[in-house]
Amino acid sequence: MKTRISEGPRIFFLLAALLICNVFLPPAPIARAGETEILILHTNNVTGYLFACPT
Amino acid sequence: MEDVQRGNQRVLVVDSGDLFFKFGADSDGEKAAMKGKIIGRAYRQMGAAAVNVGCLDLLHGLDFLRQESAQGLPLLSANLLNPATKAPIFPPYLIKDVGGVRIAFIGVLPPESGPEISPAIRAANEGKILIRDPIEAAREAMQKLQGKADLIVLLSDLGQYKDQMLAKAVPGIHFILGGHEGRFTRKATQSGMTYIFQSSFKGMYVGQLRLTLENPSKPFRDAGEVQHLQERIDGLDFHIRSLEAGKKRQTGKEAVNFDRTIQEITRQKNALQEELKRAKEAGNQGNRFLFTLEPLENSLPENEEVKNRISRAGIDMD
Repeated sequence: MKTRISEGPRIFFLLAALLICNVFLPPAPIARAGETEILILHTNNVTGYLFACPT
Repeated sequence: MEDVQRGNQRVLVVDSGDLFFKFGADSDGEKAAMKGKIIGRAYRQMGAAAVNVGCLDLLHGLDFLRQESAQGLPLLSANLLNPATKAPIFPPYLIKDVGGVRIAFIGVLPPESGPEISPAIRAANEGKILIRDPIEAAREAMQKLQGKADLIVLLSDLGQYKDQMLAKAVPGIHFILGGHEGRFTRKATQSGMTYIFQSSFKGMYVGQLRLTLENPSKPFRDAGEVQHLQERIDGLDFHIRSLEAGKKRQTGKEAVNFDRTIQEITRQKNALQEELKRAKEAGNQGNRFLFTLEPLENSLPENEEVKNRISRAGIDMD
């Protein structure tokens, strides 16, 4: 039987994979000399989520 | 993970909130707390740069979050206050120096979360918290950050509509990485000079915001604009072809109506083609960003260690 991995560890391994990919793959958009490249990996509502607040 | 991060310092992991808990019948008790601890541990191990406190993160009380913070999770919130001192419980913002660029992350959560959730949050934190107006709190944080940061990123659990209001009321925020509803964002919502995103929900996707900075004091351009415009033009092309095929089956007045619709859509398509031309001319110059959502489900192989750890915690099917 296939075991489901909960959100936290699942994200952990994905982000790890993305970090590794970021080392070896060329980033987009392409940076030129004098430019700085930064990658921000973002998550939200990993466990809970809501409809828009009424206020 | 440590090796990778040592080798590539220009990667930051952040979360906008509602990381630990959900609201509902199965959200109480030890099992939920255990799951929350595992998630906290995972984010600590990843070296998360900033984690905003979301409203649902308060469902198990402030002590849980204090413990996570004490163990090294970089929780932040500009508007979660101690009611006695009116001071923020966690740092209102954090500044990270990334390749010589100072990036400030500010956190905010909503004062009200609905008729069922707000009472549950109050009950779990009786007399321990005060949630300030997020716009006032963000404005104050921005004032304190003057001259200290090159780039401002707001981590928000307010929801997209309120994020847009906040961006209008507090100019100077470059990006809002939002949450609350867990929207799937293919294209940034722009409010003034601020770009707003969400990265779906339940860990199904991770948002990748790639920044290329030439001069941090200048505005950003969406490097995905060319692709977005081309997709819209392709969509209109398809629509025009469908209408032309439909027109052949019509006669008289109905055929004229088809013609009018085709003309209007062609006008829209031409306008977009002009925009596309301008976007292509802008090319790879100036500050720019590219936001994409990476799906998780297909990317992760089964892992024995993770499986065993989850099994030991008793949350296999949660």
